[in-house]
Amino acid sequence: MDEAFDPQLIDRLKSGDERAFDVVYEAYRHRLFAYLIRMTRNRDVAEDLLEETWLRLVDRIETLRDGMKLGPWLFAVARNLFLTHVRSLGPDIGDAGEWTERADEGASPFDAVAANELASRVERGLAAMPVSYREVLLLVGVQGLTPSEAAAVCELTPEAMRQRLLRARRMLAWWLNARDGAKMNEGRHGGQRTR
Amino acid sequence: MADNGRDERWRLDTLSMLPEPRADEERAARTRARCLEVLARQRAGGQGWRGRVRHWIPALEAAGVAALALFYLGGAVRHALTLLGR
Repeated sequence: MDEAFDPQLIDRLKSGDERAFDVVYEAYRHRLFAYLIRMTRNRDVAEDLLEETWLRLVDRIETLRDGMKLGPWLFAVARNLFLTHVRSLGPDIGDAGEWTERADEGASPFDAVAANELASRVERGLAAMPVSYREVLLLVGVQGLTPSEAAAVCELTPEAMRQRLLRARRMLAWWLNARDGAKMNEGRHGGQRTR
Repeated sequence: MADNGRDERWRLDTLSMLPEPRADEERAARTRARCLEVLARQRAGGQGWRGRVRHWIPALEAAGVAALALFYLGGAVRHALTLLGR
């Protein structure tokens, strides 16, 4: 997406050009929100972190280098804000990298918009994954960042990113397969069950 | 097995087709307004010394090019006059 941008965009942003800001804002606001809500699993927190991400952009506009890609920079800021938020929740939540939320607790915010059953199941699979695996799938699989861009966002080496992506894909596939198996068994033994 | 692999790939491809949850539009508009306010404040404040330097860079570049052109033109004229004097 960055490639389609005006190469002078960062320069225009630095000079306070409102239209340049609008170009960036429209290009990334939905993508950043989609990333943040899938990381936080909480609409209010995602909205707060999204606002903070944009304020960081305008606050640190002078530190941007001409010609740099804004997408990975914005995702890195959003990720750091998310990690800070998780840490602020205290030790009860555990380490940010290992923090997981129970996917089956109530309907997720996406259930309402999930166009089909598969998308809904993938959403639940993502929600059930540890954050460190979920984020790489979100950045590469959902947001379309290249693995090297995602590695920079997650502060990983390209090789570590490749390994993590592989494990994350396997984990999601395993989760979906396990669900399929459970559903099939449920269907097979459905008649014998009592509720 | 091959079917499993195809099935797995098909389902993972779904990642790129997941619906995009939308943020609250009113809040998005407020966030945009706040950001533009900060940008305007920075612009009004002259963006600090780096901003002021950046503002003058094109003018300094143009002045430098003009000075260099004059210097070479002067040299060429002087050379031509010397040749004519001979």
